[in-house]
Amino acid sequence: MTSFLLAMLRCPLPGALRRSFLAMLCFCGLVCFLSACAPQPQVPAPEQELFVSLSDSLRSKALEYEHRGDLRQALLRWGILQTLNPHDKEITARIERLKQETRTKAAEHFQQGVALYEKGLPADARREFLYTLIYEPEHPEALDYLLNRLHDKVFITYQVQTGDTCREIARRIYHDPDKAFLLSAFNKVNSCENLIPGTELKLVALDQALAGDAKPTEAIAQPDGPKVLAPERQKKKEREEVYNQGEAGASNETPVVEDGAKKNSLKYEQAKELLGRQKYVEALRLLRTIDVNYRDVARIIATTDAHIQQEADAHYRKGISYYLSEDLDQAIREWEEVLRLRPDDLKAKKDLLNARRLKEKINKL
Amino acid sequence: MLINKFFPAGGLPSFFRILAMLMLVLLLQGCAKGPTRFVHLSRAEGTPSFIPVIVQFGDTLPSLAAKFLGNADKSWIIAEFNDVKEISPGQELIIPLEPFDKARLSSKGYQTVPILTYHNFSESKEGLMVVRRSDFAAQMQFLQDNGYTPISLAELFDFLQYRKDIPPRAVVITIDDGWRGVYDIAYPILKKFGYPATLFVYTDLINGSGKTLSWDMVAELDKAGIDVQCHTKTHRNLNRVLDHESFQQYATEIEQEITECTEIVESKLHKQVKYLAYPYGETNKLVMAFLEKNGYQGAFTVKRESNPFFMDPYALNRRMIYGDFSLETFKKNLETYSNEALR
Repeated sequence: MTSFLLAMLRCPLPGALRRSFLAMLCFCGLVCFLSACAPQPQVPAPEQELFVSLSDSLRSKALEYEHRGDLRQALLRWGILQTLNPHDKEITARIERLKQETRTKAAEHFQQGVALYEKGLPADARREFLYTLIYEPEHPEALDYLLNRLHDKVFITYQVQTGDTCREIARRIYHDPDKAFLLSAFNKVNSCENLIPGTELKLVALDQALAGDAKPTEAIAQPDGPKVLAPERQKKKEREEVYNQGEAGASNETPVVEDGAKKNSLKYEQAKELLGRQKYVEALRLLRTIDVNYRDVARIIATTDAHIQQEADAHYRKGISYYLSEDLDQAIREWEEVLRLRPDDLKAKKDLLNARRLKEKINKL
Repeated sequence: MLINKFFPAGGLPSFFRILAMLMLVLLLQGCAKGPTRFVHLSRAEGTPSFIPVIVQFGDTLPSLAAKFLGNADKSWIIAEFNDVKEISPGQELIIPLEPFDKARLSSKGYQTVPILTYHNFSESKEGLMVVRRSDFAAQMQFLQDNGYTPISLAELFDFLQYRKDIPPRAVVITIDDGWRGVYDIAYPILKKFGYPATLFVYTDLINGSGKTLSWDMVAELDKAGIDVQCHTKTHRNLNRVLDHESFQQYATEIEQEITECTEIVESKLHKQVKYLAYPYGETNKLVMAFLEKNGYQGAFTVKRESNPFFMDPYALNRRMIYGDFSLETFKKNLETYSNEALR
């Protein structure tokens, strides 16, 4: 075509013909130029003809993934094939079958995961939630467990009960009323003495070492920490400790966590059984050895403790009543019960001592 | 007349000859090559969005990634989906527009991301916390030669929140404290390889003395892609109550360690601080609670493990790289796949 055009340009033609040929050539060139510059129009169907080899390779990949059991990758490729071949009924049927299969498997693993989570076995539950995602990658509940609920809780929720104060809540949850400041540090509390019943408070789920009455175990013999530009030697020593801890942690962390989870689960069941037999003090003692962020332990501790306090108050009042009616034996029994429920009750201790002394004097007379 | 000048009797005038030649060139050019051919297809419900394309002359994986995914660095997405390393004209490909293998989760395992931690660097002197220039350069070269891709913390958190795919052998590079060696030695090497990294500074150290960074240097690093984040104010161990402290004093002090570092870095660099590296890698729930309260999105320990997507974002593992590590030891810290949680 090029040589034809060049020949036309060279050949001596009459002026008018030459001009019209040139005009035509210019017009054609302009059209071609514009068409080359214009955005490429979207290629219409038939897509099948355009992407035959692509469809073939997608099909063989999809079958390969299916054979390997990687159903989500298979399904993804069948989905693309369906879009490329919208009238292929075999593909549509295959997709339906795979979707049904993946949904069923995802549901089975998810249910198992929830059951294991409820039993306090986080590692086993995690495995089941991961399998749920293998079959249904966007399963929202499985994702919620994996990304949120299976992590150690930093906060627990506490619902304010009638008569609660910050110090009282701190005593119940942290066994230390002086930690009451933590409530106002993480909640908008106008008055620690007048908390509104029913209000939900965010409480830090302190690690056991920090939650007890005693100083945290980490607190032992730590001089003032390394300050600005601390001597390199001191820093190096401490970092070596970190390194060693890291190495040790890597080897045994998982079994320890798993073991802890099993213990929590066992203790939790035992505590519930004790509560069923109305053995509140024993149940509370057991509950306080469980991680405070394990299931609803914090809530059960709070309600059990409140129940024990009410019981102790009632026995104390009965003791006073017996004492005033000069029935010392009954008064002593009531106050002994108060001390069983509330061993650090100073008033009950004092009254019991007085009652015993008085009884001794009467006996001597 | 002018027309006679351009219209000699014996042939076409030179003006029109030139014009005609120009048109011819344009005509041939128009026929020669069009842009990549692609098809927008109606999307089946539940199917990720994708574009099928036919590779044209001059197309490369990075050029297709730049055109369809908005970033040439994302060429690995096209390569991985189509299981190809190179492409040739006429080849038909799928360009996935949405994540197609988040966390690379299958019954065989899942992706994990190792986060490497350095402290200081020197020309020749080696120490536990000091890596020699030659060793650091060799380690970065090892990453490049073996298909590892350093990613930023923002990309890491996309992975941790199960939002996006990340490269198959993604790693994160972090540097703690704020020693001068970061500027003199690590930065030029990172720049040469084009690797992102994060510098966790404890702000009391940034005073521009001979051994430490100045705020000007820190600002320069941050601007150049070394993301600066917090490592507390004084580098105190946040998990230890000091002998003379009451619990309340301890709580107040550790919150100040976090908030003062945040305020200083934010005011010096005019950016939002989102991540913290725990000094000595130690933490507890109270520290994490203060981080959440102060808007932090994640924090880092020094537990020597890689990170799957379901890690607690406030207890991310990091692997400390020491000055006496051989390349073989370094390699052992690059675990990017695991099946542990599926067993």
